[in-house]
Amino acid sequence: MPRTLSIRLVAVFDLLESLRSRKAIVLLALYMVGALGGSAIFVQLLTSIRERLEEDLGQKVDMQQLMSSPGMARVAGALTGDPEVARAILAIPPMAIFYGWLAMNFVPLLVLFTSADAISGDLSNGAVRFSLFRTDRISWATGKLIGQTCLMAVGVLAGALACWTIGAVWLDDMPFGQTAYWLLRISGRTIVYSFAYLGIVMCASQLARTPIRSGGLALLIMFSCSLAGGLFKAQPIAKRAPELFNALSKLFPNGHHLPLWHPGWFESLTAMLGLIAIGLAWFALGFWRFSRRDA
Amino acid sequence: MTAALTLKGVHKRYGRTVALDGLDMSVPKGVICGFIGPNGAGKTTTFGIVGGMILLDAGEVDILGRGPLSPQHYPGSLTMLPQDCELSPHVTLRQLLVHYARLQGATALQAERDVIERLEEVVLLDRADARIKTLSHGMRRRVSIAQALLGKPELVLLDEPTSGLDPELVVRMRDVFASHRKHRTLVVSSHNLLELEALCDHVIFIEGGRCTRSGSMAEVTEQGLVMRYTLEQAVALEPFEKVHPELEMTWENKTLIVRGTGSWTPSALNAAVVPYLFHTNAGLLEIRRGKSLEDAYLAGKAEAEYDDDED
Repeated sequence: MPRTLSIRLVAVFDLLESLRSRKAIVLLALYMVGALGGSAIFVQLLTSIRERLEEDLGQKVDMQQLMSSPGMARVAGALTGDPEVARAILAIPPMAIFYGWLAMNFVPLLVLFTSADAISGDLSNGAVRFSLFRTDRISWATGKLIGQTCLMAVGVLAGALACWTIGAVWLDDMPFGQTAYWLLRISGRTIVYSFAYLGIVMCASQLARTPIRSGGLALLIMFSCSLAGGLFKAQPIAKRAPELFNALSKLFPNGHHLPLWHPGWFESLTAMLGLIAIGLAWFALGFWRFSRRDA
Repeated sequence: MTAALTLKGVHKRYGRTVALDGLDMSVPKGVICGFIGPNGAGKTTTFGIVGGMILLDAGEVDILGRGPLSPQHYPGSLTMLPQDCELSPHVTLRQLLVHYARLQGATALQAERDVIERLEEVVLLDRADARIKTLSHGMRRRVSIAQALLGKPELVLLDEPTSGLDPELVVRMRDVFASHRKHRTLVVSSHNLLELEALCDHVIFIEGGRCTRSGSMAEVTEQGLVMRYTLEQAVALEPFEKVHPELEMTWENKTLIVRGTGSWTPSALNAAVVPYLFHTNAGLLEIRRGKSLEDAYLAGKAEAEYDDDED
């Protein structure tokens, strides 16, 4: 039997199983509500800034003007630390920028809650024993990884749709097509970014035997990685040996956060490949243990 | 006869606990084999090792002459009913079983047909589209049995298959297993020896992680050699012994156990013994061929304990 078929069957079933579980539905719903609420607040904020500007300037200001104002450029430059990236970000419709920020911060957490028990749950209740004589461990675990990636993608895209809907309803001059295009692009990047964290979560799920332990372990690894990645990028440390610490920061997901927004395809592609490699490396580490243990 | 399953010198430890201590066993092809032993004897560990869930420390496993389990190369050739495992609660019976059948190499259409047949067998066809979490314990057990019989497995391992089922379903499931007799090899682990005696034609006893005895049911229960006559009262046997000195006769309470050797058959034994018992007004209540499996098991256990003491 082709391994690709086994992997596909496990992935499709895992996605179906997850989408029918109350836990995943509640978490996805919470994420969507968060995206809706966050988008609504962001729209209100944008509208009030624009109204203030219109009052000050005494003329109508459209969203394009607002985003290209020197003030915005200064804020974006300060936040990113890279004028080129700041310019690229400001060219994106504001709803897409907001959703990118929201999703990249919260999807890793969503993944932690939805996927930490993907393998450890089956190990703890014995459900894995109905599968392992039908397919080998690598196909089963890989199928689970793909199933959970698809579940995450469902969440990210549903959040993007919620964000687009809010913008379309409450933002006067939102460019529908352009915003949808950028939301899709940013959703893709968020999925790649969160895949690195999913790899960590799936690693923990293969190392621990119970969902509580795998959840705790995943949280610990994610926190440690964020801390380490942040430290290597922190100015007081990074300026001592910029190239070395920059390279070290690339070992952690947040080291690729900013390059994902870079306008140059080489930078963003390298960041995406780096994130996928990090996710796969963590998954492989977990599998190394899983393949050598009793199920 | 070719073996469906062979284990040679299989060792497995859990920390300091020895689960399997050089287990050697062989299950002939096409039989229904009872796998019998006390709690902690290593039955579930053996099934886990054969099914690829538990990794062995040493030894060899050969399934159907193809080496250890390789589901990618021989999909669906081995299936099993593991003990105390939960089925995925959120999906329906049909979705779950179709998924398992497809993992065994069936096409979507074949899987659908097979699932309907298996659900019919375990009397759950009317619940095909119910979610697993809505089923009772006994129903889930039957779904577990159904998944083990999916496809065309050559070897099926069943760990305590009828635990938690009501008596009517136990009989029904026994008939289901018996109906697969000629098509595949079944290894059934159970503490219900009456059930195994009615179902199996081969037996393996395991204790302390070792095989203590194995053979056909007829051999183990001595069905070709021994007859048991339960009487209302014990009678003098001397006159009969003079006529048939070659027969070995012993009493077990009011049960006369007659052991024939050489050319004696059960019917020849009956032809010789029963008239004598009528003649002596012994009050013949029951005739039984051989030992019960329970007696054979307990006798084997006592023998093993005696041997251990001698060592």
